[in-house]
Amino acid sequence: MNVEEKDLLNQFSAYVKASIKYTKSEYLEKRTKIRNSEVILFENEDVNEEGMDDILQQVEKLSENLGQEVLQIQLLLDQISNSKIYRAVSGLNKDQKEILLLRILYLKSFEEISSMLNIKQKKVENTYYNAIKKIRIILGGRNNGI
Amino acid sequence: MGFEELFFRARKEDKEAMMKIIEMYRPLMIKYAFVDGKFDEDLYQEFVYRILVCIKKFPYNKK
Repeated sequence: MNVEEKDLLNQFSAYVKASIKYTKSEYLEKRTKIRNSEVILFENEDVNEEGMDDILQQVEKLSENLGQEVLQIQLLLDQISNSKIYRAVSGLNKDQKEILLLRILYLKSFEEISSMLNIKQKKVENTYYNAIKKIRIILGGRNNGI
Repeated sequence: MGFEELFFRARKEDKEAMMKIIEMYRPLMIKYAFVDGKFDEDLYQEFVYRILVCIKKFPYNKK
């Protein structure tokens, strides 16, 4: 093999290698995108089967406590259209859910919530921000953001 | 047959030469076709296609 031929082989090999690397990253990116959209569909099914009932019951209990109408349950469900957020919210504990709902859906201030639930205001704030943090972690950090 | 001849035959769409070049790069493709420790057949096929494109598009002119 002469020098010229060796050069050609080396150059072509480098070219092929770079191209293959690029193809792989492109392929993986595409696949990740497809998988993400697939996961959302699966989660939707889950929500319909179990998560939905679960969250409905919890909201119902909560609204009974507050003496609110059933109509507002629907309002909450309408607000949370993203199935990932559904899942995240249903992963929170009772206090966190309660405060989150009061704060976001009923637009209460921390002061009002603390007097309604007989909890110190500082604790309400901490619980609220912890819940938000938890949801953010479940949703996968900055990429998905809220 | 040297690589140069092989390459130019492949460039002129000689199937045999194309196959030989793909054979040459098979280990490289197999190496990169492993995703999370599993061999990805689809990705491998993408690579084969990509090599054929490379043969056509490689910027080289015979002196």
